[in-house]
Amino acid sequence: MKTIVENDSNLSKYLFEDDKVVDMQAGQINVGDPASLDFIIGDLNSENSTLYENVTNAPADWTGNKYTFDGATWTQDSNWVDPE
Amino acid sequence: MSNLSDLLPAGASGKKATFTASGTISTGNTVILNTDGTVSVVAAVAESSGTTTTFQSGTNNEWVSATYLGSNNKLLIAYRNGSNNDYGTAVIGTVSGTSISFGTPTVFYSAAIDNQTSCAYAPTSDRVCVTFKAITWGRSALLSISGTTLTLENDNDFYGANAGETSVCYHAANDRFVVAVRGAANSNYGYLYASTSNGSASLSWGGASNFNAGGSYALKVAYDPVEEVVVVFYRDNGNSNYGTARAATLSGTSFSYGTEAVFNSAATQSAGFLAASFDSDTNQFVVAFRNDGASNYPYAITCKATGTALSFGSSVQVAAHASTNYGAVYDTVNKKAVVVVEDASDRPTAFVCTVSGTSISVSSGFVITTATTGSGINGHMTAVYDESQSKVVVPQVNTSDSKRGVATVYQPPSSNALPAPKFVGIAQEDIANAASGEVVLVGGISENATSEVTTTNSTVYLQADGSLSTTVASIEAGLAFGDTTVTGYYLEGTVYDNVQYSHGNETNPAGLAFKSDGTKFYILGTTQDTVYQYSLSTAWDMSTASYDSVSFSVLAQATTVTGLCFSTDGTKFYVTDNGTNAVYQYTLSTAWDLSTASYASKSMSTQGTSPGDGFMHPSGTKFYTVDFSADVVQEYNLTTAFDISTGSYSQQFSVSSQETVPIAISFNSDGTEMYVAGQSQDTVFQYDLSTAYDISTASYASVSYDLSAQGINSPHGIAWKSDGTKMYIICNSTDKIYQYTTQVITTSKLLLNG
Repeated sequence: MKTIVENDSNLSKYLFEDDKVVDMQAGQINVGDPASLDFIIGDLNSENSTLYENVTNAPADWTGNKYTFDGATWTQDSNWVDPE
Repeated sequence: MSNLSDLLPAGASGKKATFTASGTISTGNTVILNTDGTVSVVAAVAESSGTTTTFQSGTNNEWVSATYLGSNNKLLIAYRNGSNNDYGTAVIGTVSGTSISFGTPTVFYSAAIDNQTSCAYAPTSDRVCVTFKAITWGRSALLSISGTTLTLENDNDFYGANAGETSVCYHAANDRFVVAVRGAANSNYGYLYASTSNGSASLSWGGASNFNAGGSYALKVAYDPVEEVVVVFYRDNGNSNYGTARAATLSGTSFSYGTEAVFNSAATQSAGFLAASFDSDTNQFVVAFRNDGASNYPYAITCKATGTALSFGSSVQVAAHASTNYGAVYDTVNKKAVVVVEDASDRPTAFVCTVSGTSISVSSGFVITTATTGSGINGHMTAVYDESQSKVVVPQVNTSDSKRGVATVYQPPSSNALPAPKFVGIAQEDIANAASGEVVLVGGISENATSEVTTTNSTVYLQADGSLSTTVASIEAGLAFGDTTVTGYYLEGTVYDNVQYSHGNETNPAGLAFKSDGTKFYILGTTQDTVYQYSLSTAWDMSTASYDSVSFSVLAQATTVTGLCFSTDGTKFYVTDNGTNAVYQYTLSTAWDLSTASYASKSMSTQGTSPGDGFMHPSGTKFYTVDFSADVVQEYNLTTAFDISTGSYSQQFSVSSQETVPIAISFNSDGTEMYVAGQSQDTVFQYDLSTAYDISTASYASVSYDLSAQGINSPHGIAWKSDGTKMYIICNSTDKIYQYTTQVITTSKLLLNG
């Protein structure tokens, strides 16, 4: 797996399969086959976030912004509230 | 100067040119210039919709909003992407005809958003501001556009506490965005914020400005470019949840407010939903809203700002079912507002709203797509107008397909002459397909405009279907001037005069004829095989009729009479008889005086065995009957004028597609229109004859008038006032004559100004 983590908060924002192409650029992040992108992440980029690859211990109940990740350890964010 | 003709430009009469026709063009048709240089008849474009197209696959998308991107000729859809952690996402769509394609979705906020998105475009900076409720607070994202690619310039809080729904618009005069937000952390009060700049890369917001010290739900903010004010519409929880609006001027980032104005005094505790669009032709808003005081049905109302003072028209029901999701746009090409709400099956449905003054009339709905929006959940649909394509785009989540994000393009009712300029003039002659012919151009004078022009020296508009009238429409075709010719005989617009005459002498009347000056009329009856004479103290006014106590029996010749007509000078009349399948001629020694009648010992056998009514050509050289078994009109040639014994069958024309028991027949004064009525349809049908009185050139005009409203179920005769402005029907079953006023067509010269 690979995850994109916001540098300031360490929040794991995205979690992808290993074969997903993630292109970290200075202004944005492109996700998917460059010839036919899945989507673009406009509010994250190589300056404010980090891509961790070969992640093997992602929580089974991962969802965006629920966990922080420091490159090794996953921790549920104290501010997280399960959606109703 | 007393006439517009005094102002005619020099050389106007000579402004003609030769074009190749694409399709058949008739003299007097309004025409457009096609992109290949050919011309075609102006025709209506029916409303339609294209294929529903996915902009976001996956599931559980929500909170859809959209805005048009100005000179980019594209549109942006913002939404919550349910298949990507509920992140705020946007995508650019490009419309072509009734198709739409999309670029790559771009996440503008990598966290869940939790309420309605809203977006607005600033042409000065070519950027879009999207507002939304972030995890808790009110937030904005500023996106720049390059083709179908979006780039996030910055994102920013404008309300740093728990927020509710947001709405944003662009204030053109001050070149700023304005956002309205329900302050959930502040007792749900309503607040406005203005951006500190026009949308540069570092968009930020001024201070909060409270527009309503009460719960302000379902809010929408919109900009009035004429008054240069913003108007916020909302459900005022502090005032019984009434639909309320308030206008504000903007100076820097500060607002000054007018008085709150209630537009819907309906108390409810349920959520209310609305949409607003600015009608740039009447300079007022058209607001669509859910009227919780009327079964949650959708309503629409006009809202006019004068400075910060607001006034409203009368609200009108848009549809008779509850609706939750609302879209409202103004179609600048067709000059109509379009309200989109769900129908009873939750399918997005378009209602075209025509604004006249402060009143709104609403079309019947057009279901845009079968993709459903769900029941009772808002944020699932919106509408945006694509100015470059003159189309309405309806983005939604499809609850029939796991809330996939989809959009459908809707073509409102329009004309192939729109958007202008396409109208080039009026055909001067008939032009066959691919042939060349002359067209009077804009700036020239047409004397062949065949459509309705009711007042000379009046402005005439090109209607969507190519007709011309004084009804205001998108294209001003020209000025009618000069001598006018009033022409009757038009069934369209016919109105029953509420005048009927019970003649009392005959229980099976079979024929009706008038003296040429309208002071007498004659009834033929089957029971007695007799003709009766009546007078009208006011010509052509059936309410003034009285029996002359004069009659004439034709029983010596006929046994089952079916038709009656007179020669032009009133010295002869003719009786058609189904019993003997013949037409008999009678002489009046004193014109129009039935007491002087005698049989002329002249007759003609009819071609068929079921002759109905008869009609004599004004010159006396042709005679016509209908045959109610063969369902045809039959034409006879008379070698000696008005001498029926010299008649011989010539040709026939079938009317079976309209009437299978034709009984009555008549023509207009110049023989270019024919009218048939019968027992099957109880309707008068109109036929065009391209060659006067030649039924081989007849074709159904697709114009008819239904007589059933008067209880007529067996019309046996049609007669006309000499100028065609009155029509009279004699009914065999009710034994009455019914009087109608027909549409008056006034033709005049037309100075085309396109």
